[in-house]
Amino acid sequence: MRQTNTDAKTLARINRIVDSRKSMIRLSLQACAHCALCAESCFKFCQSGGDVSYTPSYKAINSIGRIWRTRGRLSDEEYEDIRELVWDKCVLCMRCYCPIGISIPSLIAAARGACREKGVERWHTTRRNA
Amino acid sequence: MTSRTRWILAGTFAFALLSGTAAYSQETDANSSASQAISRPSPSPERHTAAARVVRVDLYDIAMGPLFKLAWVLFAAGFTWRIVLFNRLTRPARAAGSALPPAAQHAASGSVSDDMAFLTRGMSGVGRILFRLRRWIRRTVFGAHPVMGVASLVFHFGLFLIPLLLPAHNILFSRSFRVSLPTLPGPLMDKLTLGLLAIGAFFLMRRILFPRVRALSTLRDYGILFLVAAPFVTAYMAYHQWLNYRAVLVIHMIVGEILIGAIPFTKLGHMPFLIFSRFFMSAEYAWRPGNRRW
Repeated sequence: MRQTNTDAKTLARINRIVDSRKSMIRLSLQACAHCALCAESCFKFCQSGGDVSYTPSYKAINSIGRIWRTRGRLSDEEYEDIRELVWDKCVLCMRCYCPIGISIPSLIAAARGACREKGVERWHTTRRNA
Repeated sequence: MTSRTRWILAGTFAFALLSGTAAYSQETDANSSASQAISRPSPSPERHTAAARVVRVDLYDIAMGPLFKLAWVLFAAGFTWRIVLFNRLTRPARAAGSALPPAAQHAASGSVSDDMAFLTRGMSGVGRILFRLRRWIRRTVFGAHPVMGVASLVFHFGLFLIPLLLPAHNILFSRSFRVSLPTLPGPLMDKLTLGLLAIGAFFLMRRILFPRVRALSTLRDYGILFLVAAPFVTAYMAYHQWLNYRAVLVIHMIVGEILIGAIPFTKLGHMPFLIFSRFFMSAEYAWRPGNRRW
């Protein structure tokens, strides 16, 4: 069993956000062919010199995909990974190009919403709160 | 895939097999009673002996009849369900231009190219069209990955056109539905199938060798690739009469039917998704009409 540090109220809030876009998230994650053709459209990917974790679909699948699959029951370390993906590695510039037409920014925005409920935000915000 | 969807799929396939058996036994009953009717016009009391006979189930007949119908019913139902879902999830949106204040509408109303008119000054009409086409292509996947873009386009068209334009399939079409499409010669189709499989192999190698694709790949992605290739491999084997022709043909039909039925429920669901998202969702790269949003 995964060690979670999230109380029931927070989980409910996370799931309310995820459920409000449930079908969109499910359809998009299912339709993603994992072709990685979106990689070059991300300026962060190009600037990182080809770091795979900057691929837009990688960011979406490993953030909202994980939250969606586990209904938000993730450990603090996993939320920390997601924080890095959706807050540091993506600026929501909406320039990612998906050949299939998946709205990757919408997925990452949903992940950010879920993370906010958990209190996982940009590092300077969390540092200030600490 | 959720566990509920898995159960539905498993149930449907079990139902398909059962109904296939039932349909076959009914058919044999009908045949035997028909032959009885010819020999003895009056209904006889010992007719139940025909029903009690052991029915030999032939996979070929099942794949030709009930499984084929079921695959297309599943495909149509799944496709319709997707359309309904999309319709419910999205709402009408004004076209990108008209949502802006009037002063900004001109810039966003598709006349951006006109602002770039100085770039095409002095060009002929054809040159201007080619210039715009090049600018548009550069923004799409063909600009970023020309090889993968073209390979993918050829692969996807091949997936539809090779089975549709195959002479052997068209003979079956004309027998069953009394319609047939124009066909291309069989030997050419043979080469095209090989080409398609080569592109499939390219996709597989890309998935294995490119770190960014490997990082995203799951077992399911490899499975889908093999499922898509399987009907073409078996078709090639059947065409060249490798191994047991009839067994290969039955596998070819069953795998093809699984593929058709699985399209709306698996990763192949990007087919209905693409049609909807590319044409109807309001986005920068949307084709027409692009008048809906999530």
